[in-house]
Amino acid sequence: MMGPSSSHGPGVSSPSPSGDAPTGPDASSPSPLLRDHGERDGPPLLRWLLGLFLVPVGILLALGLKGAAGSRDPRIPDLIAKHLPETGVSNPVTGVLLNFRGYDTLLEIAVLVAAMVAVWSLDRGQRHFGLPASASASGGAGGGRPFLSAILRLAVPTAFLTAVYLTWMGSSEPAGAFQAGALLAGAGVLLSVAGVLRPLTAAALPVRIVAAGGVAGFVVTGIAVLPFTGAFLAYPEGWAYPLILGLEAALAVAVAVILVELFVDVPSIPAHDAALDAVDPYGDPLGRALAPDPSPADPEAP
Amino acid sequence: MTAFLVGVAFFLVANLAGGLVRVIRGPTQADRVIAAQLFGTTGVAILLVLSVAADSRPLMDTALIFALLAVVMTVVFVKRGWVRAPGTPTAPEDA
Amino acid sequence: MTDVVTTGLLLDGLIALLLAGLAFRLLRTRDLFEAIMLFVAYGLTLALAWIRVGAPDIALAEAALGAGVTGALFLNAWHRLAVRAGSDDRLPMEADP
Repeated sequence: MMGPSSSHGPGVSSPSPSGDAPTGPDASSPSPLLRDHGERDGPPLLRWLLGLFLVPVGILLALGLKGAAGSRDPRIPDLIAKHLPETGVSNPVTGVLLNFRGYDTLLEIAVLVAAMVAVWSLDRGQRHFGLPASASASGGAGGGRPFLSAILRLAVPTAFLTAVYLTWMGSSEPAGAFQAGALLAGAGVLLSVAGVLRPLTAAALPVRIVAAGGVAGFVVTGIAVLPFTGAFLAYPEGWAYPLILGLEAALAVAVAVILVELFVDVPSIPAHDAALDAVDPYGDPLGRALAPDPSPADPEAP
Repeated sequence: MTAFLVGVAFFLVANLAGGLVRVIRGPTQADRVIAAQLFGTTGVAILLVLSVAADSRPLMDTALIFALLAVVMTVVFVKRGWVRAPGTPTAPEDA
Repeated sequence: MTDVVTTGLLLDGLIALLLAGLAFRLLRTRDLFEAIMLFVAYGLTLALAWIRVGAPDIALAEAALGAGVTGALFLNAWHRLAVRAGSDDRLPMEADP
């Protein structure tokens, strides 16, 4: 365990040596972000009118859905069933998502990468990455936390095994890369929270490579099959199954890394900076909302 | 037999409705987390009952995912969420 | 056989009611933490609903992404807001005290 003398980055006080008691900032000023007391609500009449307006909208939506359910082209299921053998997989959902409409999945993973980039861009350079050396040296899951350690030993290997299973079964059963990636991410989050895994940060090159790997794998595969089939992401005959399985595996790992990254890389809430008001009056809404407290409580203060 | 199993699933979903009351009323954060966990564990039970009723393996996979990710959320809560938020009571007496 | 259909309909109706109740409270609550917990519960219940309409693929994705990982992300963000601006320099992932 870390001693109270271990040094962190500048401005970080040493953690208190006390046990696992829930120490936190004391309730000095209720943040409007955490609990809204209704000060900024609109007039009640307006809200009632808006609510009443939503009733016909809901009825129209329900009617529209009812109509749409009947008007689906009845040939689609037959078409998919007829061409399913060409996709290399036997699960129709996977066949559609990774073969017929492969670009759909390509765009999905691109959205996740974009989300990660957006979170990175929130950083204002106020953070200090990485674990203190003493913490990583202590082995994290080890001494003093038998319960967490036991949970990790049970849950993490099971999650890894299940993720591999889900990726593998995606070709024949309802499962797939995104679900497997989420499970891997769950394992990664557990390890990160417990301090076993060094936090993956934006700065790390491997993180960037793996996170981009999903999109890159798709694009490279899509272009590589062009000379053989003449269409983007149209797999040549006989190659569909291995290509889909490889793409699914790359996707699962990329999804996992991106999700863990989103979890670990929570941007700090910047303090309100008056100098920035002139440049960007609308910047820093979080810093503004949290600024009024004159004496920011140090959560780690004993 | 299938009707009986679906009836059991109905009873379990009714339990979830009870859990909803606890999520809403709290009063502490731990109460809410435990009630949300009830949705996870009871969800596992419902899925397993339905998977027997429908003889379907994907339902069991879903139950497995429910169970695995419920652990993640609880651990994250204990390590991350359990701070005294401004204005949030940590014990019923504070309410 | 009709027994199965009737009980199944009752089950579906109860799940739908539960979803509506969760969604209503989720939109109405003023407490962020309660909203997060309701969101997780909503995701799990929605996964059950997807199972009932015969879409296990979406149920798996909803359970894994919607309820599991998103809940953890929200809790993390909540923590970030709760430990205030004064602790900006806290390590994103520090070890136990």
